[in-house]
Amino acid sequence: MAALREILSNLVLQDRIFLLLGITIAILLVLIVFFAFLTIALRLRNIRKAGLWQSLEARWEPLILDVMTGELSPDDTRQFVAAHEALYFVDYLLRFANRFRGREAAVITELARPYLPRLAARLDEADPSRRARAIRTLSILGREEYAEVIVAALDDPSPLVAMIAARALASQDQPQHAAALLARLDRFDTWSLNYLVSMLSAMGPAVAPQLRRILGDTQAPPQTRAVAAGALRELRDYESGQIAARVLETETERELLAAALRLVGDVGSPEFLGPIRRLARTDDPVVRGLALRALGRLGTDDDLLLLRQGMEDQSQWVALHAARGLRQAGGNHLLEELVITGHSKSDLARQVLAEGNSS
Amino acid sequence: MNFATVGGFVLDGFNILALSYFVLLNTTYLITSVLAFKALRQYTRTLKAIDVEELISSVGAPPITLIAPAYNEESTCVEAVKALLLQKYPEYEILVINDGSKDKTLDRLVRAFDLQPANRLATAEIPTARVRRVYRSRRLPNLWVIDKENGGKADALNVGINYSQTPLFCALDADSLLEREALIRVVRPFLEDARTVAAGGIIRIVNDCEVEHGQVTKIRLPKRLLARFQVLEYLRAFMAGRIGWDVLNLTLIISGAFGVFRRKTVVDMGGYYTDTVGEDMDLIVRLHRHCREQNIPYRIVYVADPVAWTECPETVKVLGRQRDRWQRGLYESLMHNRRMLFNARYGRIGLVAFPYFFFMELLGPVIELFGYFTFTAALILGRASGPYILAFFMAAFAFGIVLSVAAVGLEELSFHRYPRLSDLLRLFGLAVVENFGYRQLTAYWRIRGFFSALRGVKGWGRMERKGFAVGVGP
Repeated sequence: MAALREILSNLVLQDRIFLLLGITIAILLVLIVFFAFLTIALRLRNIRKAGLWQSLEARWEPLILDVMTGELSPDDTRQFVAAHEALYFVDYLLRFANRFRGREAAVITELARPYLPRLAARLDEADPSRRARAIRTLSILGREEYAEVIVAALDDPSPLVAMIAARALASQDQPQHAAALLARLDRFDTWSLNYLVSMLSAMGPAVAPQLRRILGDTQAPPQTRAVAAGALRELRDYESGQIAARVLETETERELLAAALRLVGDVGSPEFLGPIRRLARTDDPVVRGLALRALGRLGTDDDLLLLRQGMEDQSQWVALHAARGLRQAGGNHLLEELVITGHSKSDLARQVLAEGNSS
Repeated sequence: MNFATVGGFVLDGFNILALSYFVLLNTTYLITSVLAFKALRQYTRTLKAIDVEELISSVGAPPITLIAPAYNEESTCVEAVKALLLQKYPEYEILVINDGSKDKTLDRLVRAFDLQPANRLATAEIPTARVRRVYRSRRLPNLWVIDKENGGKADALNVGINYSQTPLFCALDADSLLEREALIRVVRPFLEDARTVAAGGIIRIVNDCEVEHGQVTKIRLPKRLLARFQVLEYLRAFMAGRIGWDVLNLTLIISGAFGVFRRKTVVDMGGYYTDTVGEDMDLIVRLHRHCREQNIPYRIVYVADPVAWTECPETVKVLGRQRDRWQRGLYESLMHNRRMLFNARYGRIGLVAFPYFFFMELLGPVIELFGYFTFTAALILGRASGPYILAFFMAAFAFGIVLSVAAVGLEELSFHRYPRLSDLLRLFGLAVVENFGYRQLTAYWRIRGFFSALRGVKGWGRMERKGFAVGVGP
């Protein structure tokens, strides 16, 4: 070490830089060789993996057919799956699980059952993507047996795992899990509202009473209430119209108001027109546009003028909502008049009339 | 102190500057490559846990408008629109914007898709060149073509934004071929995080690949060397560069050939800036600026798996024009937003990403050019030895090769799109060969672009398309 230090101290700056460059080149050459070998190793691994899958598929495909036709019982298949192939077999079955329904799907589940505990053990692993994959597989091939595990995964520290568990639980044939899912809705507050709405509405009408409770709960976060309103709208839940109207009267948060206006517009009745008319004059263009849309669906002849005025709105979105609302409220004659007279809004009127004719 | 001594110091100063630039640039590339390695490994695992089919069937996927500006794209436009029509996505519209093409782009579209004049009103008022006519396909109700006067790509995109009616829009090149699941994959960040305002996917080179019904059916390396170099370049840029920057939340570029944006945010910003040829980068820089100035929580992300295939230039002349334009675009968007430079108000974008692009990507080629001159001068004046200069260039080449080989490795680790082992070996070979001529040529074009930008040169320059190689069906 001392000798090296002495050699270095005897070098002038340029020689030191030269030495440094030499070392750098050597390191870089090692890196080039390393990355090249790594890449080729990866390629060989990919080829080997593809080959392995090919041979496994060739072995298992007739097996599945035999089980489906009843020539072989699910238990008989165990001898064809070596211990180290268990999770490959589960992966293989997963491909069929989404394709089959009824008895065939039940057979696939039966075939997978002996191997699922090994998969469930993966839920203790540190890598969230492996846990997420395990939850997804368990939810498809062992949903009833592993329901508790899946519910517990709603509290997984990884948002990905939690969302996959939520998506798995959100189906029409499992309303018993609705409470667990709804209680954790705020965990998913970064997710797209539409995505959450689609997930909740997939649970079917059985979940509607709980959604109504959330929508009406003034202590719940506005985002969660907006999701509930969206899901109730998807479910066409007519009983929620009253709650949505109350939201329109008391709340000010834009996203919640927008969701409630969409809900009222679809499931409400003319008795809720008061707050809708008020919001059709609000400053917020998003709320104003949606109020005009709701007005078009629920409004009476008294609202035609307001809708016609909406067409002059400085926001083109609001104007479009108003024009569509006018058509829905039976104001076609007003739109036609605009077209005939060549009014500045005649193009808008023409477009909306054309939409009406094509729908 | 005499003149020779001062000159010597100046020369040494420039040499140190060039050396520092070289070290800093390559270190950054190495860091992003390492980050990309980790991120890609995690990402490919995560993908296995996600069911894309389920996402596609989900009603939660937001409706989206695909905006494809077309200028003189008669050879590729029909095939590209067919690819768009094959998207696996629940609800989408296609707006092809014919930006005053002088060739038969509009005719070809009208005939291929049975277009007829239709009514459609703009829902935003971003100023644009005049719209002449709106067409809609009689057979495919989600396909619209808007014919407008020429105003440039950014202007055409603004027309598309004005006429779109969905919460998201996807900006494309009319000659891009989107893979069928590209849209749902690139929209995923918008589902998972409502703060997402923009997401971009990877651009791959389609030259000499087989294309059938708007889909790439057989992937292979291009036959021409110039196009092959670009395959390697794109791998480096996307697999190592963009993923690495994304890990650090420093995405400053989403390619104009394929990016998805939240429409409202872009409309609030006034749409694309039309006085630049780098409208794609400018938009992302301004998105950062807008969201930070308005205190809007936001995310701009790069997604590694959605693919748009694009045709790359195959002649030196056209490639030179493209690179010249890219450098001008970089200059224009950075200068347009120069107040962000070292401005703490813009957080890590103002303090890290913007300075990196400014000093390394924009001024880098100029520093490189000075480096060549000063090294030569130092050699002639005896201030540096021949072996020293040689060692420096060897290190520079070796760095380049490491980064290229690492990018090929990242490709193999994740999506391994080039199926033949010979392709892999060719890519390794290219990593070496490109150092002898190609890299210097691109550096020259970038310098030329930089000085063109300083002179205020505008315009895109002509891009020649040969069309896609159509595969023979079984």
